[in-house]
Amino acid sequence: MMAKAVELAGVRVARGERTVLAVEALAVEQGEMVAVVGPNGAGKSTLLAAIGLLLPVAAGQVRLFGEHDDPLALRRRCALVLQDGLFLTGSVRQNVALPLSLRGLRGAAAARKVGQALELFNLGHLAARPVQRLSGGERQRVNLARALVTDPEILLLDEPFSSLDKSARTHLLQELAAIIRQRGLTAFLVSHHFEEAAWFAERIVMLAEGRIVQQGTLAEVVGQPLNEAVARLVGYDNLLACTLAADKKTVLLGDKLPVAAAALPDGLAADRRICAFGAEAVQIGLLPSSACCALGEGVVKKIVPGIHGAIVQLDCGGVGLKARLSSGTRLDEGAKTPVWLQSGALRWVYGGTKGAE
Amino acid sequence: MTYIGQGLGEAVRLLLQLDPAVLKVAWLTLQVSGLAALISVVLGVPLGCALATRRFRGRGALVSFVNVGMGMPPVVVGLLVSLLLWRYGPLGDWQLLYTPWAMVIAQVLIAAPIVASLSFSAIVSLDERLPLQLLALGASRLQADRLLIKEAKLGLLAAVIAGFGRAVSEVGASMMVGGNLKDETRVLTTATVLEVGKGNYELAISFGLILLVLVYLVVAVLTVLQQAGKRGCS
Repeated sequence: MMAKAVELAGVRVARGERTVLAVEALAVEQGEMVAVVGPNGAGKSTLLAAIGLLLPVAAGQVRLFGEHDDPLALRRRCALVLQDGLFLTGSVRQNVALPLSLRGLRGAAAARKVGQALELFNLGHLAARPVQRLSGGERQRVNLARALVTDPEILLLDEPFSSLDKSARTHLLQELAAIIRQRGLTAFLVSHHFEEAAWFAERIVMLAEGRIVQQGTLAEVVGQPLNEAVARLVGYDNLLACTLAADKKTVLLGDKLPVAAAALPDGLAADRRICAFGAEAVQIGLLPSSACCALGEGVVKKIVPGIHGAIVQLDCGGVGLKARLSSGTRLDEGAKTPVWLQSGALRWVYGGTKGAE
Repeated sequence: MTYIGQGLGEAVRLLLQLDPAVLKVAWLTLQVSGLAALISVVLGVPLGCALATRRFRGRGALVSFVNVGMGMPPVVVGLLVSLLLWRYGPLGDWQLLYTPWAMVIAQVLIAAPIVASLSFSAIVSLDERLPLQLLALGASRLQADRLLIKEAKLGLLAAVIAGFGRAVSEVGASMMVGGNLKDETRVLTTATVLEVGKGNYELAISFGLILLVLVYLVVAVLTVLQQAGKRGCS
């Protein structure tokens, strides 16, 4: 049986007295692509550094390919790409050749591999240029070429393109994903952009406060967020506590807005649970286009412009809601509008840690 | 004011004639301070690098100790070395007091903390994530340290310049532990002090001038190296 590419067991990383990462168990197959998502300070970069054997762990064990005895040799089977791409003084060629020379590979063989890595990212014409004279996009290409020149088996991507604009980011990520799939690499991507991470990876690991709060496929994480932190990271705009009324036929959204229980998805097994839904699920100003339940009249408190339509903050019977304003609809702050909820889009937040680790 | 002109003239004459007595003092100065600077670099650069890149118990105290060493009064160093090397002192058996070796030891104690502290500053001024990036590229600890030192070479050359400058300009401790013995431990600084005391301003000026030229030449070489490194960065 092929050993797992990465196995973490009871790993704890401490900074002083404070635990910054605590992972009970994480196992990743060879060739698997994993996205690590979490808020700032969740321990995403620390997790990547721990996987890459780049920092001491206070407890537990990190095994790569089933081994842990020779950290330097194992570390050399990985490559880490940091956000800004830190380079040493010198040319693009010298920087890309560095990982090879650190492994004792020099001369014609090294030059051939450097040439191949540069061509892979269309950097051949920049080989002699000092790295300090590169643009942001060029620097990231060099960063990737340097990471891949040693043919690593595990690629650790720590927000590699966050300094680039969306178009450049998407383009580079697509290019990189194709290379990773073609070479069958095990890859970890840390990203602030959930959609980007979800597109890139087969598995999503959600981190909060140094712990894995949920992991699974995109459908699992989006469809069944295990707690509020995950629901927020996934991008649900509305998180409301729901209570089952005494008649068992009505659910009070935000503990106030009555909705027929039959209109909502199954899952409110307990008497009280958090529900999550996007701003798109809340319809205002127009007659609803699909099956919706009426929430009554809402008052527009604030309108925040956005590329995909403005987000309208509403007060609906004392409950704060966010709705997306469809194009062509005009509303002013203070205006009153009927509000509907596309109840099929509502998801229950399970609140426990079932399934996580 | 004429004695200044006479002094300068005498200095130029001594220099042009390559006066053996003067050359001997200049050569000993270069040997003692050059060796002291070299030992200070060998001790100070790795110490500064280790303080900058390693985390260990007592690191903060050691950084403070090195920084205190930067401001150590030379006479205190001279006193310390004298007490250690005195005939009945802990290292008295070595019989180094009033030899050039005693002067080297004193100058190392004065210059090494400066080299260590400036090396520490040069390394910590690099991006704090650079050590992590180097390890991630497959560097061993030693390879990473070597690359960090290479990357901080501008700052490290400044540390070497400062270390040599401090060693060669030192007079109090050298006088105390060397004794300013003619043909044995007399260096340019102590010779200058002696000649001023005797009222031989011409000779004192010539020694001072030679000291300036010597420092200028050594620092010029190091500066050329530093600027060559800087051009490589642009």
